[in-house]
Amino acid sequence: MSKRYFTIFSLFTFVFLTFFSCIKEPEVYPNTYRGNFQSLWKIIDARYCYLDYKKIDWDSVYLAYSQRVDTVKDDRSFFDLMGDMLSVLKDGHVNLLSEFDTSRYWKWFTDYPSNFDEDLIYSNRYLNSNYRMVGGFRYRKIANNQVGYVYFGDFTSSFSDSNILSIFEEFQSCKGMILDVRNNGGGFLSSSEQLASYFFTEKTLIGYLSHKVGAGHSDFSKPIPIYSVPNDKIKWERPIIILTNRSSYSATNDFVCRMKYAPKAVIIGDITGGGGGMPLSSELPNGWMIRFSACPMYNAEMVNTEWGILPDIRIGMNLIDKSKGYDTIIETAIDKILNN
Amino acid sequence: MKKTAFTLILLVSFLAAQSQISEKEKYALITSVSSIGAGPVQLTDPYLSPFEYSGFGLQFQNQTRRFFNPNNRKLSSSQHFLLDIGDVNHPAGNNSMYFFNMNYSYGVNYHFRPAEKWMILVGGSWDIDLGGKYLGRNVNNPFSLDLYTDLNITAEIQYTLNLWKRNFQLHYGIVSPMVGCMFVPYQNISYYELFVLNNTNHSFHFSSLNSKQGLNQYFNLDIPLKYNTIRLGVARDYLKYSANDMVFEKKDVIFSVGTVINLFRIRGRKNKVPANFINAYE
Repeated sequence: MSKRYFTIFSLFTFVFLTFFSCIKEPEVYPNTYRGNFQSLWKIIDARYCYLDYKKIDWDSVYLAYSQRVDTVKDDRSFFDLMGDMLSVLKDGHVNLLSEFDTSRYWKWFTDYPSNFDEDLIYSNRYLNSNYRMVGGFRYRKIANNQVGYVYFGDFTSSFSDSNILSIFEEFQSCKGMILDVRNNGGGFLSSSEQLASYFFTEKTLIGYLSHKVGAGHSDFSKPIPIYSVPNDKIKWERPIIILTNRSSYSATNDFVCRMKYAPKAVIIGDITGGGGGMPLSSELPNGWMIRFSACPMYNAEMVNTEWGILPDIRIGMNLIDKSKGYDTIIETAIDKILNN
Repeated sequence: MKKTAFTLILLVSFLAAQSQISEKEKYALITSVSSIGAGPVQLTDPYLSPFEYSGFGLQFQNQTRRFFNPNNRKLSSSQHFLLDIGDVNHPAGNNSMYFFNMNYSYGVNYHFRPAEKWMILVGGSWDIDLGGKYLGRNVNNPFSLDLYTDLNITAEIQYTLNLWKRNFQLHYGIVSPMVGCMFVPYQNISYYELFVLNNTNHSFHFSSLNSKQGLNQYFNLDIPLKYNTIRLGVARDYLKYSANDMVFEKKDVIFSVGTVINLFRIRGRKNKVPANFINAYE
């Protein structure tokens, strides 16, 4: 072959060798207790979104726990140590998942009154045993058929327009509706968005969402607005009361945040549990999965929703009412509908 | 009914086709190679996990090549379609990721013939790739979309070997991306924000050798049999690209087997299929 071909080949090889080292290799930690600790600490340091907001000194956490890693003897004690470290974040969206356990932080609801009694909900006064059930909703007319009551306990339940229409048709003679999302730990944001859409009459700004764009604790993108857009076919235009407690968390927190801006909605109960940071996941060298809040959400006034949403009427369960078979929060909502 | 009708007729051999149509006129055949392959795959997608997953992949591909003008045997066009699926595992062995990819490329080659039995093809191609990876355990980021388009340089060396009165062909070739565009969102953005709230800012990037490096090498052996030709091949693909502080990587070695067939296209409504071409449906 001629010299010309050799020259072309040599030039091609040179260009490749020159550029092939341009991409910087990421740091990967070894699958040792120390390597896993460093990997976990680094993921939170670079990607967790509330370190500055919660005023957490994550470097001092590293120093405190780094010394203890050397004392670890087995996987379970290492898991417990890492779970302790993550509890510093005080975040229900932070979990470490191994093949034998899931770490969690639950003080956001265990340190507060539950303000919810399932036995009462299913008593004769409210849902009874003859309630209707569709798409995760349990519903029945209460208060002499003047109020519609719906319990919705899980935003992972899927529902359709026709499901919602059937509930609204059942309540068409009612003066108002109560939508109880107490003890609803969340689920899909898309379901929250869909459910809220039935209670809006016009496109309404309800909040903002941001995400981290760098490893710095305050490196966030410009928040983008989130709107609630009314459903074009089905609307509930009578009073709607949302019942909340501390276990109204994550996607439910988002739903309550939306309903604060719905025209006929009133929020009654306790402050929601929060969970305003949308969680994402990553992994450690040993294969454990870490879930953490990555994208902070704000209400329409750019106030962080991580610590929960304040109700319009803050009220807890009264023990005397409870002993008489009354749910104080539901009774307050009934009174609000019938007397306003 | 379209103005231009295309009829594809499969011919058993190039020589047979030429003798049946005309002894004088040259016709450009389309050489089509369909193959299936399998082999080890390693991939890293930091949007899903910072670790290199390794496992096994399956491929189906179809390549066609033809001269633009049969009287000028220097310029040819080629098309390549590839479908790639597989299953890879975390290094600790306790989690799996599934992936799929579809790639289409169109290329133009210039043919050098430096010596008898040798041919060198140099050219370029444009390709578009759509795929995804799925890590089911992840929350809110279980899926990573692969989407890119590139302009590539291509080169191939071909050697014809006469053994047992048959022409065996050996091919060694490379394909490498030069410039293009790729979809790489921020590591901390969710697909809810990307596709429900339509915030794709900073997700599409210009790529060049600074940010994307790849080299696909292949070695094929075409073995002529009595009635057809089979191709045995091995390909080593390496792709690495970086954007938004993440480095993605894919490496695979695929062993494949396929068939080489020649197609003849008769274009135009007025150009009837010659009477000596027999259609099995008539």
